[in-house]
Amino acid sequence: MAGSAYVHIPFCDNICFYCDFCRVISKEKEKWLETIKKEIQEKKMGRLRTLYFGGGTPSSLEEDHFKELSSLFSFQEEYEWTVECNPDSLTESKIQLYSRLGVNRISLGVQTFKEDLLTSIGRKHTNKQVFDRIQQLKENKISNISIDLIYALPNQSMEDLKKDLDTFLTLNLPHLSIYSLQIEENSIFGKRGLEPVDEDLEADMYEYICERLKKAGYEHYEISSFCKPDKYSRHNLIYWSDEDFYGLGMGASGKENNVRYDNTRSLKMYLDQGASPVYIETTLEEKAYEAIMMGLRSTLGFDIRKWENRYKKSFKESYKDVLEKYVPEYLVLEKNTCKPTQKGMEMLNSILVDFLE
Amino acid sequence: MDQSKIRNFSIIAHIDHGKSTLADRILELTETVEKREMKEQLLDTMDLERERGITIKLNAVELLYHAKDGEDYIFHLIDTPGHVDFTYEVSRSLAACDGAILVVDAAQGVQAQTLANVYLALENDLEILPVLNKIDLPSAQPDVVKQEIEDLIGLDCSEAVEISAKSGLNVEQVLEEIVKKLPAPTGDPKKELQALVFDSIYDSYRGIIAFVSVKHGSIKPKDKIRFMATGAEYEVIEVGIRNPKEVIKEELQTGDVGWISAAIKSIDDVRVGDTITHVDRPAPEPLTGYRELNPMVYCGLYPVDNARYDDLKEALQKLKLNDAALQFEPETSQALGFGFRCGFLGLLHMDVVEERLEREYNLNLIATSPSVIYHVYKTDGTMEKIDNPALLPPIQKIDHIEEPYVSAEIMVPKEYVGAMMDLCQKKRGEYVDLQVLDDVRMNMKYELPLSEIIYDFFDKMKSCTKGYASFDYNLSGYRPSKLVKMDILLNGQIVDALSTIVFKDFAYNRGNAMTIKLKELIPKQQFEIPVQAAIGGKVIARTNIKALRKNVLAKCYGGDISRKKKLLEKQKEGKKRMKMVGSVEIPQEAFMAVLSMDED
Repeated sequence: MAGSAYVHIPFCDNICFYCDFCRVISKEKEKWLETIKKEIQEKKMGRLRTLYFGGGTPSSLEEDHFKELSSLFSFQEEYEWTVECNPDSLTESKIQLYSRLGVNRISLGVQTFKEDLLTSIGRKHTNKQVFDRIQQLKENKISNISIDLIYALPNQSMEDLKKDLDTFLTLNLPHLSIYSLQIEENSIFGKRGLEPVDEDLEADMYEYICERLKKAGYEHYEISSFCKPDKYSRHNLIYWSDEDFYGLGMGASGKENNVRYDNTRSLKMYLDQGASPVYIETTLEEKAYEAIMMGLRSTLGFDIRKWENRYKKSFKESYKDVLEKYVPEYLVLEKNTCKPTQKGMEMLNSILVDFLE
Repeated sequence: MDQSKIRNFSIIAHIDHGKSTLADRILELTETVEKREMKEQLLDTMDLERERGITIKLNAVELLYHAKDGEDYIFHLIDTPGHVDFTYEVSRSLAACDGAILVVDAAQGVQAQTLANVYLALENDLEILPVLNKIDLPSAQPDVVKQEIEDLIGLDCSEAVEISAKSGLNVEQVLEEIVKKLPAPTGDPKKELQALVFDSIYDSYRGIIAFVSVKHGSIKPKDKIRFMATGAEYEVIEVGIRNPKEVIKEELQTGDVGWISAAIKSIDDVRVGDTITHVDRPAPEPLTGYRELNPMVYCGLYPVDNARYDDLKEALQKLKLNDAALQFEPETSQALGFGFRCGFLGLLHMDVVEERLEREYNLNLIATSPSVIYHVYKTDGTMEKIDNPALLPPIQKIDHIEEPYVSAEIMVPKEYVGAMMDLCQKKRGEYVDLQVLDDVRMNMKYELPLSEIIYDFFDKMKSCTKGYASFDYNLSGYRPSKLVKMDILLNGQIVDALSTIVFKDFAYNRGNAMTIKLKELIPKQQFEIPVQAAIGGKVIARTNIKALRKNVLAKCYGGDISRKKKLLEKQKEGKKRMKMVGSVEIPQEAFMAVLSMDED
């Protein structure tokens, strides 16, 4: 039985230009709550090790809705419960509630500290809101805080990025997720036909980020994730280490008994018929590949022995040629793990293409 | 059947102007095919053909028409090849006829392709029957279009029939006009046999089947026949017609259009345009207009996956059965491995063959830049024919090189003469003559190096004359030229498949254009790749393909994994279509870069 769950809260107060996740601006929150409550109860989950409320914008949920939803989960000791928050919908009162209910990790969507850039990507919050919320979170004993930043934004310079990182470092937070802008087909940017920034600039930015954060004492433990010692996102590690997790709510994906599923992305369908998961039929072969595709994202290493037991073949034999090509410059083999080097992280897609049969 | 009751004709039309729809209506009206079962019946024949490995073409159909004058007539509707650029084949199909129906879209008017084919029909002395189609469209302007036909072609359109092939409106009137206005075949049944070969197909049971138009005399099974140009002799096994199903006949008479089977093994014996006569009573001379079709353009064809060499060989052998002009022999390239040097009539022929190999035989191919045949005179006094630039002897062993020239005739509306002359000049053309044909058209004559035509000449011609030019050429001989071999180096290594032979004065421009184009076509790789053009070891142009430094998905969590995997699978597919040369992955298109580069 899975010890982790992801809950998708699809509501947003406005739509950001880069986002292609399942998100709706809707007034039917009551009916949605009834539906997801039923869905969660039917799962008959045990006590969880990690729980993640993502979205959409979980912090846009009304307090009593949030409370009702939370009452359906129980935890093991040493659990991690993350809620994704938007600085302008997260209020002090909500922070107090979260703390009371036992939320112990917050992921705050900051994206950039340059306010005119924020406007240009459809974000409505201010820097003051960010600093105030972080202060209030700490006052309410939620100190395990991560923020999200985006780089390679249209018109963002190297100087802008450096300032963003400097600001992040003054906040002295345990975790940072920093993504290069991906222009998704179904996002507003994608529909506007936005041109990506210069590839060399993007590579320069990434290399700068990795170096700067390493110097400041952060561990670069996944392509886009950095943390202070031991402050990994334990929930996200579940995804990268081929573990099962429940996917709850419309727009959520899950994996149970090593079978992936996607819940419906249509609010209407969700309210009428529930999660309606579509199970993704994959061969063992494909599953083995997906495990590599996810596992090599993390420098904590991909557990070769676990993979071999599960997929009944030898890793080193099956990928002899690929390993010969990429070890040790791009990949390293060490104590039954395989992990990417800095260069390997930058070129992971090229490597993964070679892993494909 | 009385010869005066036969009408042999083609339909000339621009694509989409309604040629096949009109043909369908004619088939229905003549009750050759029942309306309801028409599709099915035709498809049945085609499936059968497909099983036997025959190319699907409706070469010539015999139709019975009961005219309003109370008499029965036999129509032979002869198809022309779809590609107008096969001018010679089109002209032979037209030579099999006595008349042609010119179909023009009443909304769109005369198009360049139509014009070119009308000229061919006029050269073959065909009577032309103008017909305006799509008359029921709101945008139809029959009077404007009629005037246009009169101005451009000089055909009297006062009695042109206005039809809608789609609805069938006035199509019967076209049939009546065919009876009244198109001439019957004028051949003499008592004279020695002269049958024009205008097409052929391969049938795995019966060998090559020749399609013929009997101009004089008659032909029947057991006749001993001779192909006058190739000299091949055979005994006729069966003769017949198609209606469109195959029907065996006792005899083909003067004016008949049908097929002959004679257990012919080699396509090389049956050349389009050749004349068939009897061995024991031969015609004194063949019909005019035969031309031997020799390959003029060569390129290397290689399977992307070396393991499929034998499949490629088999596919080429099969195509060859239906295509006399195709030639091929094995060759090897350092960069590409084992493949074939193939000869084609021209660039379009090359495209068609390549496309068929890829589509019908499911082969993934790399085609190298096309080349003509150069005569290379060496310092030791010998001459070598070179059709592969990579095989050009070293400079110090070459005395001089000669290249093929063509005499080109270009018919073009007056207003484009200036633009066309500029183009010919740029392509090293030598002006020969300029004639006024009529109020609107002029005929330009130029001597041009063939190698300049096989690149982008046709595209450039189309764009500078809006498509209203027709072009015909004949090999006129070899002339000495200042030619050099230009090599391309990727990552410091010569890629033999990218070598070309160029006119010396063009080398710098072409080297530049080529390196820029390659930079565009070759995707970034994990290291920087210098791209150089060099002549005899001296670099004349250079650029760099920057290294790919970052290729990774920023976000990948629990959802959307299938989509992200698809992204990688797509990259993998792209990689499969690339050839690893040394340490560089080169996409197929790059080997044809020379065709798509912009030198201006």
